[in-house]
Amino acid sequence: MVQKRMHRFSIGTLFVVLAVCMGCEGGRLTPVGPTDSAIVDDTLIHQVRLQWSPYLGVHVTAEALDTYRDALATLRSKGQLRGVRIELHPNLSPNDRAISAIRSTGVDLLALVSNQYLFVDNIEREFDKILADYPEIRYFQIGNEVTTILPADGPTIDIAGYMSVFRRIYDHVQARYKGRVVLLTQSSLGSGSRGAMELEAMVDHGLLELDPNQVVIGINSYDLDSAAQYLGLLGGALRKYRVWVTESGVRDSKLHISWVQENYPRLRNLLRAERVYWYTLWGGDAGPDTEFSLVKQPANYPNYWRSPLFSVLTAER
Amino acid sequence: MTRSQGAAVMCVVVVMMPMNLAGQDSSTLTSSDRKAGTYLKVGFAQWQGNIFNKNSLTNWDIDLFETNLELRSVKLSVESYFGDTLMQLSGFSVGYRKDNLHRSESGHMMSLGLFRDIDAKVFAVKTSVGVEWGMPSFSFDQTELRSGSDGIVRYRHAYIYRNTNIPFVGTNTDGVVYPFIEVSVLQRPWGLLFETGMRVGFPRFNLDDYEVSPLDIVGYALNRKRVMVPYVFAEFGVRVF
Repeated sequence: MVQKRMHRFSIGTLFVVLAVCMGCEGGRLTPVGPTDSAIVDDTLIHQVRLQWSPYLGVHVTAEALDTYRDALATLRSKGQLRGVRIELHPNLSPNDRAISAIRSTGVDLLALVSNQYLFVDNIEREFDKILADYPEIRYFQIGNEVTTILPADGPTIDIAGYMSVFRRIYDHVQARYKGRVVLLTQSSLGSGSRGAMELEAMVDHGLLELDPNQVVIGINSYDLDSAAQYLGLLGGALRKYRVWVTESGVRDSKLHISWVQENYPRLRNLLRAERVYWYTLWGGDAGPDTEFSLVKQPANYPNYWRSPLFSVLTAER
Repeated sequence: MTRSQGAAVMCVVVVMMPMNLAGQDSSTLTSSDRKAGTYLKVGFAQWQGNIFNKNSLTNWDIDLFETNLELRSVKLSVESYFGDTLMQLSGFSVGYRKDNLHRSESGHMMSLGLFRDIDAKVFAVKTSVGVEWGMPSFSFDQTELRSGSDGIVRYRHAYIYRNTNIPFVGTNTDGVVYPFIEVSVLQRPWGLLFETGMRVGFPRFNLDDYEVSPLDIVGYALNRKRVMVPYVFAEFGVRVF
């Protein structure tokens, strides 16, 4: 009887010890740093730069020319900028001062071919013109959020229509510019499940017929919920295709640092993203000084506002 | 012997073990000794491993300080014990496990299992087999990215292979289903249940290596293999029927 009680006591003790151990705080995979811009120590700089992906979206506007030059040069001099995503509109001149300023930095350019091009009759001729105007650009993204960013009173396009245009450009590139150009698919809306559903529809409309060496999958991701929706596709049908996150970030400058620390590694882990582009250096959809911006008040150059993330990325060590 | 063959042998051993034990003491199997009942159980679980190290991913790594995957879970299950063994089975269980409590959008696993238990006088030994189905934790998706000075980008993406659909969520293949085996010891004093043990899941993992040259020539080494993912657990239950 005593022995039986002892056995019961042992099992009970084992149960309690296991339960207490498992209940302890733990399991966090990524360190989280402070977002206070005043705290810029070496450890934080190291942690943020370790996770940062040196790619950035830049709105093409001459309003911020001097600030752009300064901010891009500063990021580049610190090794925190390798590539920039810019949007090419049909009415944009290749000699535009902002374009020239960005091109002069020597960064790797990803050209977003505006949604307006999707509706031109002779897209092949337009693409020839774009390539002639921007001979140094290798990566072209054909459209962005094509079912949601459209003129209010203009034409619309669905995924079947989009894939038809994409296929025409792809075939044209393979015939005339093979090895010169890599195409990115449109990036769908970066929240909710719409993006993954549209990518799945793109697969249904022939995406898998395109050479994975010539096409990169573009994804916008502003939350992990939306990123999680892609996992079955990327690990299945699209397993051979490269993935770039062409827009990411958070609309609150106080959270920029923690976003990079926590979510950049998660986006890589989940989506195997080779590149993650921070949404924007300055501006955004809701006005020029949006909270996505790494810099604000560019008219105050050289005393423009710098976000805590920008400060960490460009800090002296 | 390959690892999958080893896993199959282990599965057979686990299922046969209680039968052998029972054979050594036939009195433990009499229907009069069995306590029928249905229990509502809650518990904790702990996963641990090194997802990029194939050896430690496929073998339980007991070194607490050499892991890059650590996951805490909570479990809720209903377990029913038959009054008599039925086709060598003692009962069945239906459960839900939430992996990684920090994130709500993933780590939701349902399970259905059949078990056999034998009374070893002071406690019972229980072995189970079954399937887990659901949306696995993000912690099972890892990418190791390296950009070399030669301009070549190399990365390994290791992730659980999603092989089934979760209705109303995401795309068509966003969930996993895989078998598991479980060994535990338990006591059922009065209307309570205490149990601790180990469950080993056998999901398939994709281990994909990519190499992208500066001219965007992509090289691949895509592998898929079934691996053992073990976790230990402790559960407490209350008899409800």
